[in-house]
Amino acid sequence: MIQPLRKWHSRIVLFLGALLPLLFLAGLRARHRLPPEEHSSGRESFPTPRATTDSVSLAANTAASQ
Amino acid sequence: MSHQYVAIGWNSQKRAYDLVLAAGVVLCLAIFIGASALLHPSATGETLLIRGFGSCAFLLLNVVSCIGPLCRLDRCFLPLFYNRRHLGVVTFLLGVVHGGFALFQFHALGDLDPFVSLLTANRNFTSLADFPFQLLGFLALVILFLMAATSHDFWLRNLTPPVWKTLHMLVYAAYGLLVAHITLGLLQSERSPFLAVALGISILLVISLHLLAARKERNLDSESLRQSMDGFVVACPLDVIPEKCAKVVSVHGERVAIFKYDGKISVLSNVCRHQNGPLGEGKIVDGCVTCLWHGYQYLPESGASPPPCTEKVSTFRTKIVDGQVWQDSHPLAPGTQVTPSRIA
Repeated sequence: MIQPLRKWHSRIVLFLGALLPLLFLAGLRARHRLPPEEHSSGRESFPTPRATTDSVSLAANTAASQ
Repeated sequence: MSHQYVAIGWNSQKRAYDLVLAAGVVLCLAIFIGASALLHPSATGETLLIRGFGSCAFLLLNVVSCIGPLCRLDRCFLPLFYNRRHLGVVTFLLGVVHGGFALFQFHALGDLDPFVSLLTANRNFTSLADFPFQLLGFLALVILFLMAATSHDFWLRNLTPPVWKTLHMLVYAAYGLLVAHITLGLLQSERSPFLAVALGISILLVISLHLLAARKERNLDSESLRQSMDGFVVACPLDVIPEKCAKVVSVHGERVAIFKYDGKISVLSNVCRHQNGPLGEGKIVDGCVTCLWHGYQYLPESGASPPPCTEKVSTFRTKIVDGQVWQDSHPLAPGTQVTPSRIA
């Protein structure tokens, strides 16, 4: 009864074991490709500017902060 | 173990576990938010809370993910396993706070409904650097909600353990989504190498522990059985079974636990009916096989839990020939009484 679950568990672990490091490395690579001005140095990354991509919300956020 | 539903069957061990958990979460939040406030004095309170709760939730999810393989590698980690579901629920709650603040800060002040904004604002699915990473976090939170909502034994029993275990294996999907959420989100805007190194170590640790545990389990399953006669197979020599404990062997891909106690041998399925824990790693306590995960008990002769509990596991017919335990390769119906083999 539980044997199929164990097999699925192994497959999932192997899949994630291959996928996640690749994703992580791809993310690091994409990060280093950003032009310097798009990098936010420590303090500027608070709050993450990329998070506010909705222009309506962005405008509202900006208005609210002023 | 219990034969009726209670919200939480509190005992001193659970209280101690949850107290340590609560203290750890508070300490983690205090350290992270305090350090961030010192390093980034211009950061707003909301931002500190978003990052603090998010970091704490991911850290806890890493701990939760490591407990299973650690317990398979070494029994000394079993006390961590006992209340692992509480860790999962707390992870979800921390994630909700993180998500709630993020939804408010980034999506609630526009004209759009916050959830519509979350789901539609960013459609750069082809760009790694601008990927809509918030959607990944939202999906992970939905999975964690499903798991937290069904974490009680009520759902475990009504969904049946295999379905419940399948549902809760979604934790791996949630973990993958959260790694992607951080990699494509915070990692893209944060220049400090600390985050990248910490994330890389956490991925490496979780995957390595799982692979090590899987290797150990595979060795057990690959031990092939041996000669057979009249449907019986040679399981193991008598002298390798410790008194009041079990030897676990694999028969046609299913694990069974061979218990030795009071000069007798009984064989049960290795799968506890509660959470599919490994019965063979438990002990005989007060005449009952006791699962080391949560203490569920079964009579070794019948595989049935003592009344009023109703759980039952499969039993196997056995015989002892020339110091070797032989067992029927076909399981009997759960709860079937079998006369134990006597050790001469």
